[in-house]
Amino acid sequence: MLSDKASTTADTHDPLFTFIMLLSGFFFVLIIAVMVFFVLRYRRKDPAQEATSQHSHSNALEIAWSLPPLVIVMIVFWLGLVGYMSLAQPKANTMRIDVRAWKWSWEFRHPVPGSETVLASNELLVPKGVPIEVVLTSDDVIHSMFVPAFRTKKDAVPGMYNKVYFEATKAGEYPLYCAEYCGTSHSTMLAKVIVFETVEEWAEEVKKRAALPFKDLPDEMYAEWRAIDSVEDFEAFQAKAAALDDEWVEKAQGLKPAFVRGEELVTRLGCMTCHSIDGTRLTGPTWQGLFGTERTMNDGSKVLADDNYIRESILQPRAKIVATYAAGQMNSFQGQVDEKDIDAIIAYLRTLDQ
Amino acid sequence: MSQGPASEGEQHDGHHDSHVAHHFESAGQQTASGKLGMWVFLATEILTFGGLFCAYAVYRKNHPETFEFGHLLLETKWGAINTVILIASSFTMAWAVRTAQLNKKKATTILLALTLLGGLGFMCIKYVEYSHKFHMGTGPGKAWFDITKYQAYYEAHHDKYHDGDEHHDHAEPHLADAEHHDEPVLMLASAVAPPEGPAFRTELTAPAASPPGLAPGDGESSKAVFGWPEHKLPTPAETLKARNFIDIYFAMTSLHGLHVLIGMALIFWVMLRNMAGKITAKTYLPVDLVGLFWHLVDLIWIFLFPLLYLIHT
Amino acid sequence: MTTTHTPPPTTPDALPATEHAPHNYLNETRGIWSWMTTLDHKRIGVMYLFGVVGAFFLGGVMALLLRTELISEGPGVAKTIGDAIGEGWEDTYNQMFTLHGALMVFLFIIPAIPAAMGNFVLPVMLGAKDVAFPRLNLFSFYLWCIGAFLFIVAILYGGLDTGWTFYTPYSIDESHSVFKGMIPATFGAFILGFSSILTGMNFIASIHMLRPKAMGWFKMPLFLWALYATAIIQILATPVLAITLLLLIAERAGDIGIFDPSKGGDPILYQHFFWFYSHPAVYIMILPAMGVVSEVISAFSRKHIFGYHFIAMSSLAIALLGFLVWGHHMFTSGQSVTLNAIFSFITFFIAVPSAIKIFNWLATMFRGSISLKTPMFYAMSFIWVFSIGGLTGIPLAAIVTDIHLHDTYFVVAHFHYVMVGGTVFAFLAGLHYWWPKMFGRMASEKLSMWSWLLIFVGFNLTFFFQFIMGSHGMPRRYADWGVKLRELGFDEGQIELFSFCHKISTVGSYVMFVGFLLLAYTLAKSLLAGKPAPRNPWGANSLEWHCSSPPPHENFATQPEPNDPYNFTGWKYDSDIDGFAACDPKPLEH
Repeated sequence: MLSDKASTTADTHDPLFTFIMLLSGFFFVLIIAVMVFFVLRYRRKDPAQEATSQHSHSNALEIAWSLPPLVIVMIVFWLGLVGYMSLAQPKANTMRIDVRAWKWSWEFRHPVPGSETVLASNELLVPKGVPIEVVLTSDDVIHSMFVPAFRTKKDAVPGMYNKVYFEATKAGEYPLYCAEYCGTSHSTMLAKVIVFETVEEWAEEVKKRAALPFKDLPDEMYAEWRAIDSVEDFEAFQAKAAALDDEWVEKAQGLKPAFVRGEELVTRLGCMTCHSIDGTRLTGPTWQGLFGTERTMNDGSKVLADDNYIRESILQPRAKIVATYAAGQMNSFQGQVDEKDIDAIIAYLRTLDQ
Repeated sequence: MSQGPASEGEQHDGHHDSHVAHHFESAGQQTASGKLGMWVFLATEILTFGGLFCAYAVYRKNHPETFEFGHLLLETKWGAINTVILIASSFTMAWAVRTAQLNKKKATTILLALTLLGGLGFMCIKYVEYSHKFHMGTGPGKAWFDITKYQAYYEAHHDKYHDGDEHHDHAEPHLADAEHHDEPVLMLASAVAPPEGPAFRTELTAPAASPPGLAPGDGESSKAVFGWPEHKLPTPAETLKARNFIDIYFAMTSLHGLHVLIGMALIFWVMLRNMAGKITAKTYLPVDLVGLFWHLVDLIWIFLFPLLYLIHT
Repeated sequence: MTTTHTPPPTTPDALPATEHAPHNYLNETRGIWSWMTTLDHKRIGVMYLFGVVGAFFLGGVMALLLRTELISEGPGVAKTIGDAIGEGWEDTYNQMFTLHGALMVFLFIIPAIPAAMGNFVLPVMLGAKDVAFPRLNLFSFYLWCIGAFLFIVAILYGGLDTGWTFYTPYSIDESHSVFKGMIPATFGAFILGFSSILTGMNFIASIHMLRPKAMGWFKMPLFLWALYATAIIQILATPVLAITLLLLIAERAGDIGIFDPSKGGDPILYQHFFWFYSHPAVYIMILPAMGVVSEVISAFSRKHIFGYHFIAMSSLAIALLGFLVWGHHMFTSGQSVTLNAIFSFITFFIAVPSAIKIFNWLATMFRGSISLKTPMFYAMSFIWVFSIGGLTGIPLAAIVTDIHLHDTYFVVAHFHYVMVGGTVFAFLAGLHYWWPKMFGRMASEKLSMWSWLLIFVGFNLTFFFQFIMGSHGMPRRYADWGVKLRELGFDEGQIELFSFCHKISTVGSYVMFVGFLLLAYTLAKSLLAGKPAPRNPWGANSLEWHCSSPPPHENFATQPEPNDPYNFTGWKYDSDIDGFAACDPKPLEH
């Protein structure tokens, strides 16, 4: 009855779950079999038929059927507690990952030896065989981090830091759900857990998420990069960057067009849970045909959706609210994106005109 | 309590008294049922307030800072006077039950009126206390908590209580912090790396360290009314920390106040019944039940008073 | 227990057992006004019955809508409705499950058996003329109406999407659009709480004070024990919900900071308060159900209930233990390891009294004369679903397994097996059992059996497969279960399983719905053209079967002499009336 397991927690959980299910199955079949047998055996064939016995109490029987359930549930309690204790307590050399949840996205901060923590939105990267300590909190309402493959779950409560420990045992990709109801897009507040075979692979992959060669472009080339809006132009640009110096020969391979980078960002940051790109009305305004048009705000004023407006909407989302939309829905992305990230997002939005 | 159509009761049960409802066998059974029902109801009342006491306990443990300064906003003398009033009115209530049992109609009316007067006095003092808090800007919730108003009040009044004005310097910066209070505070947390442990929450509500030398009870309580030492006013920064205390104070005392009002209405009702001659030694049950309720209201105040006014840290 | 030698008392012997009493509580007085101002517990019980059935219908429609939404991936029926009411489809879905839960819990399950059937049966079983406080009884019915009205206001006035649990800070966060119904709904729940408290108070006073002297505590029918245990929970747990909801309203309307972390409050404190009520509330729902089952199984086996004392005491044990286990709803919330361990430990003890009841019922059937009529089928269905519900509670009580299963469909299936299985099946058992007594008409046995079959099969189809997808990690309260998984690249295995289970579950809910429609038809037909019911169609012996069907206004002219309610020897089958006629009871040999 359980899906693939991929953590030490599952190793503790699964046998107990199976044991309980077998036990339950046994008792259920027993109860129903006895009931059905009695019905068949003692059913009233003639409306005037009377019971053949009026035996109505036996303390010995009562004790006989009270004690075994008591003993069994105490055993199950003990197994459940022991299993839980082994998970609830920190182990030596844990790797700490900070998780922040908000409506409706996950942010994971991965520690990278010798550098700053690396932030990945809606992607939790962990190496196999390393005990992980996850520290969760929330920005708005209660969320809950649930990884079925790890058999682990912990609430992310605003104003509190909850901890949970696990250790992955199998490389692969697994879904991560929000399990505590949190509003409109609760059912799309999913993330991906990626387990790597070795710590080295993991570190490389995490660094890749941190490494963004476009941020190192010289100023004049950066301006050029921002303006690119087609794949052909980009290939020419990539060749030009590779010609810069030796270091850029390899680095240029990691370059992506600004609008592609922007698309990646908005996907990872979870923007799409509230903003559509096809004109559908979600919690926030759609992005289709947004850039460069005039918008009516809820105070009646008109604002041109230009670079400044978009930058402000990302960093101070509550400053201006588009008419007919609810205020206070979006939190600031200050600290999660820098100016160059915003440039990339703007480049992406520009590609969304009708 | 419940009187069904008495005529039906008499149809088949000639000896029934008219005040005994048709489904009861005897007056004794009716009285006992009424009392049992009332006691059960009082148990539910205690559990209702139990929820609030529980919230109080949790806050004392989790946010001691809010209690450190919150009580400075209350005046012990008013609480103490109210305690005396309620205990006295409980006494007159108990006495009224006795006189009702003894068929002394006039004495019962007077005692019930006195009890009613006690409740009225209690509510008047509550009104004085509440309006003072709203006047200072330290009411509950967003609508009535106004730190700017309190700042003004503090500057105008705290000299009355203190000799020096060393706190003036501290007042200004705290006000600036106050304006952030309604922002979604957790955004603060998102900008910085998550700090360890529950200290985080304290930071939210305590934007600045308290000014030095302001620990409560350090010796300046010179002014006294009725022999009670007067508290000094908390600074605006301290008042900001006490917001949860203010909320709990209002939640507890307003629910209690509502019970006082209900109790007064009930006392008024039995008083009218008594004056109409409907309360006799046989039918004193309503007086008894209202009395039980009134004692509970009194009892709850006896817990509220020390918890809110007297216990400091 | 030895039986006192008393002939079955009361009903004037001149009255033929089949004929309607010329004067009964239904025709004593006429007109709407006479019903609205009635102090007769039977009429109040009947009014409750119609009220809770109405709430059940509304909640059921919500359930059908949300099951229909979940039959396929992506926006479905919720989009159609959402477009009509101007909400997004996900918000519409969230409203549907919130209203389904809130209506079913507050307006149906909690009052269903105690307020509707308890009100009707309790005084008659006691041999009394009414409950101790008839006016209070009518008042609590009106409180129920006001609560129901406020829920309707909440639905019409902007809806509610917080889930029936009203968890903070979501429930005090003003930023979501579907929110305006929050204050009317919580206030409604508050009022309903009062209704429940007053009913509990009334029952406790009635059982203590109106019980005939000859009816000792251990001579009461077990249904009364169950109602007594329920009333204890109602009066001790409900006030905590009341104050919690008041604080929630104050927090929402007055912006004070008790539960809101952004104002220094504690959201976990809310969960403690809420479950301190709502866990015992589960036993408010299930204990009376167990009482009904005890009555039905004994009567339909024509055999003295087995282990009377153990069944009675296990009700009390469940009621008391129920107060100490609320924390098992919060194993993942971040409460301390010690608390988790303690709550898990106490929770397991509840398994024992529950098991005792089931085994005693089985022992009652042993060597009985089992009549296979509809009430018995519902009672046996109760054993079936309650066993599944109870046994699947074990992995939810063990901490390590609960952490995986918490907030998944496994939990949804578990509590539907306990609450719907438990309460609704027992409610239907009781409804069929007391129907002839309530309205003086028999219902068609054939139609009743068909509706039982549809409801039973539909119920199991709906919920059994939810166990499977839940243990595979399908979280609850999800408006959609496939689109996002596909987007993330998890398009194999998982989705097919979820898809399969959701489809079966939806089909099951339709089957159940058809069953309920058939049931409604059956009962309506019985009301209009049913065969007149004999005084005692089933041969049971608790005091309500001693008065005519339907009972007269004041039940008994003189207080009846109670005897052992499970000694059926005083009733002989009489084929002329297709029911049981009184004869001299024999003492039972035990």
